Amino acid sequence: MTNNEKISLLEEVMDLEEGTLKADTILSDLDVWDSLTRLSIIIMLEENFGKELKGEQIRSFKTIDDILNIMIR
Amino acid sequence: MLMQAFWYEVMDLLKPFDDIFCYTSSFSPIDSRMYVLIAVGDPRCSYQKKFSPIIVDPIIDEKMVRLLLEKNILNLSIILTHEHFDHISGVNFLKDNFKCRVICTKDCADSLSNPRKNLSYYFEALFCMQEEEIRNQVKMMDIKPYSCKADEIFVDQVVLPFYKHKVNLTHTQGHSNGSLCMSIDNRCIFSGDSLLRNRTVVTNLPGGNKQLYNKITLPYINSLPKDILVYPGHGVYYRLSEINIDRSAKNDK
Repeated sequence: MTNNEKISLLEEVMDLEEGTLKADTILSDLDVWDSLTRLSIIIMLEENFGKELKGEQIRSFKTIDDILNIMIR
Repeated sequence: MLMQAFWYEVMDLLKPFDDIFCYTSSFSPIDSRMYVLIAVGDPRCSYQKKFSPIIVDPIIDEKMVRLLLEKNILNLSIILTHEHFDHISGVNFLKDNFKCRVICTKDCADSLSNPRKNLSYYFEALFCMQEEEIRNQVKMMDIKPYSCKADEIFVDQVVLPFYKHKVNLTHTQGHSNGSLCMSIDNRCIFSGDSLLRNRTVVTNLPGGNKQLYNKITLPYINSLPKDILVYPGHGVYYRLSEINIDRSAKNDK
């Protein structure tokens, strides 16, 4: 999956318009970066990439790039 | 009238009715709400057998169980507004203490037995960014992956009798596959997470669908009387006219 495809997937999960996210987008700047969006991402990572994330890992995410780096099969 | 006097002491009347009592409790720290509805009719008739209390979105509440057992209530009807764990966590607890029939949509029932679909598997993760005190509180709760079952399922809509009243259950997709709204005589409605005050409806959890919410659920909500009282899945009740319901579903902080 290319980075662009991963970003599109994140935009879909976060219910954001296409083109909203960039790799260097800071998560805390996003209005949608709340507990339920984080939960959606946790589930997406598990279902699509087989990654089970712990709370500490989620807390360490600062940018979209941090999530993209996890999106590896 | 002794029975009615008892309920007056421990419960409030369910507005706008004068013959239905309501006990509410909250599942901390997420503040999901359970509603226990008792129709108090003629105490000379054994209403408990005819119209068992309705529990909407049960949580584990031992005080409530003691209250019902003290009044010899043995049968319950449990209505699930949707399949998410914070709205079903008390199902098995109630089944251990009462004879229950659990009623929900077919789509809801399909997810109840799967901890990943009912989101119990991820409950602790929901609080991963909260303050340490809350994270520790949730950790102490030791929520295990949860599974339960429905007894009666429906698609689209069903009407149930409840003493002198009609309880209408309508499948309202969007927040989740299996969401429903429960109205009583079109005078009050239990909306689950399909309509919340001061928060836009979440539709991006697994099973959520913004298009279906806008196509099916919003029109349904817009068709309701504007003075209907809304008892939501989180937070306190309010009148439908107090909020702006014509908005597309997107996340709020």
